[in-house]
Amino acid sequence: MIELDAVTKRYGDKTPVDHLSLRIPDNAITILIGPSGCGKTTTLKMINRLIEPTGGDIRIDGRSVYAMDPIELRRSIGYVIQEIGLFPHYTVEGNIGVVPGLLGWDRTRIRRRAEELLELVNLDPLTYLRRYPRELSGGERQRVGVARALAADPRVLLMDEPFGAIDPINRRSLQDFFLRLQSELKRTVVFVTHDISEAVKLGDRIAIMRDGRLVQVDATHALLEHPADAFVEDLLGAARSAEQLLLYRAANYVDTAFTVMTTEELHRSGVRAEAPLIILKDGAVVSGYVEKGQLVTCEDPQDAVCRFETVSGNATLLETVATLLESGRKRAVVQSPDGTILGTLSVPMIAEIMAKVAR
Amino acid sequence: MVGTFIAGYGAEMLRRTLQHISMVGVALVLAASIGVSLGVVISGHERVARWVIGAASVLFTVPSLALFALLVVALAPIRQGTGRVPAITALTLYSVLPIVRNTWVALRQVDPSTVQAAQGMGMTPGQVMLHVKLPLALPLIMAGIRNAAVMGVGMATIATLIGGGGLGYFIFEGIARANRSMVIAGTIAITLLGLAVNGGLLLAEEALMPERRGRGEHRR
Repeated sequence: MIELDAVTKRYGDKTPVDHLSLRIPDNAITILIGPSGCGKTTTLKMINRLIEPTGGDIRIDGRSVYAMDPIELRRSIGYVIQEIGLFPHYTVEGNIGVVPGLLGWDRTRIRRRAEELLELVNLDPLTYLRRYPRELSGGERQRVGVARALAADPRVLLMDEPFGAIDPINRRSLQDFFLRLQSELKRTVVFVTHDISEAVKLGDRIAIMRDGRLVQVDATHALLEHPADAFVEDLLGAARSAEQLLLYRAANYVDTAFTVMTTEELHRSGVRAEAPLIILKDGAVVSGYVEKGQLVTCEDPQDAVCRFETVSGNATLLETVATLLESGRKRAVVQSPDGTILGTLSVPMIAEIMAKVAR
Repeated sequence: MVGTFIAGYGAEMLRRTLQHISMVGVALVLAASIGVSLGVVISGHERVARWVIGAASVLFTVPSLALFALLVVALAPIRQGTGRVPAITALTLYSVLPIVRNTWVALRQVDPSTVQAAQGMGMTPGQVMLHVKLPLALPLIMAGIRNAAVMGVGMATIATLIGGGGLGYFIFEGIARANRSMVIAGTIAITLLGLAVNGGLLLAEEALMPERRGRGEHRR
């Protein structure tokens, strides 16, 4: 756990961070969010001592960071920033190997680790190890940036608007990628963003800051349901209903009335009109679904099978609607990062949810 | 005419070319060491930097002939008033400015996010300088060094006036003897040497920066 205890930073007569106390739990993503100039980045940089505070204390697992050597402290913490900061004169392997190199690992161990991490972030080591950052796309660079931060296997990751400079479509897929990674690795992540939909999508907990102070901190769903004051409500955009779509995760609103069967089972079974929605899953592959009642009119059960879109359970309702509208499909199958089917969503269902929330 | 000139002066030409190269070479190594170190030292101190660059610029405005003459006077008490020592000293002094200025500018232009990433990953200030800032500043620093080298080749021409030797001999002797082919031969030799030095340093630069080699090779 990371504990911030009355942390204060003053520059002259400005106080970007003012007596901030915050507990950041292990193995979860905690978001720091607020308008620009609220002190969120300053707070993040005080954790790895890139900025020294004027007062207060920061402890990681009970040890004050001010009792540690700042260089060693930074080597033990992963750090990802907006412009990525990949070294343009190093290859991908060289970039991933920076911290291991500083820690004195030998070459073969660094090479092995780089290969391992590239596989983890879904980049083929053979293709990418020897490339230079300028030969990568924005999304690939960001993956390498995450791999580099993970190189020495740090428990804590500090991320400062890491996906901020990426276009919306790639940002969405990087967020999904990062959530999958986190569900596997379970690091303690402190993530700074100014994008509320990103906060809701990624955050297990959200800490809202304003003028250097903590306004509210809570688990994401609790925060959405009980905003502390008008400022938080405003930030969450609760006043405008369309923006609410940004705040709700698909996983919490899915239609759970469905049965899963394989294509073979569908053909064998005599399911008819009364059957609820059937989702076809052959092995790990979700191949389609059958709407209630559709089988009645069909000679061959295969004719009733509809295609669908897959959406991550962490996706916001807005993303779900966008995905459905773009593809023209009727239903989205919502899956958790590990592949479990959570349920389905359709545009009319989402409209109904919004109508209920607005009341 | 060319044939007779080479027959008469070929060996002399070679000897003086080597003299010229060694003079400029020694001065360049000295100037690069001083200039880059000075650039690194002042890079963190804005006010000191302005003073150092200012002082070097003033030095740069002293006419080269005057600087050579001044050094003859200044170094005479230690019996080094003529010959290679004052010549190399003058060349070094002149070459420091472009190198220190380029080093300073280059270090300031390194992307701050890259530097911050380096600090955030736990590099010491020395490691940040050595592994990140200097390599990224290298193209501009090398441009300053090339600039100084080409300038040095030209300026070393007047070294012959204070007994420093070099290719300037042909030009000044040619003028004294009203020998046109000597002047032309000297001028051509100096020009070719300047071009060769520039080209050689460009090649060295490329060898130092693997990330700029084979552009597009891996691109899809």
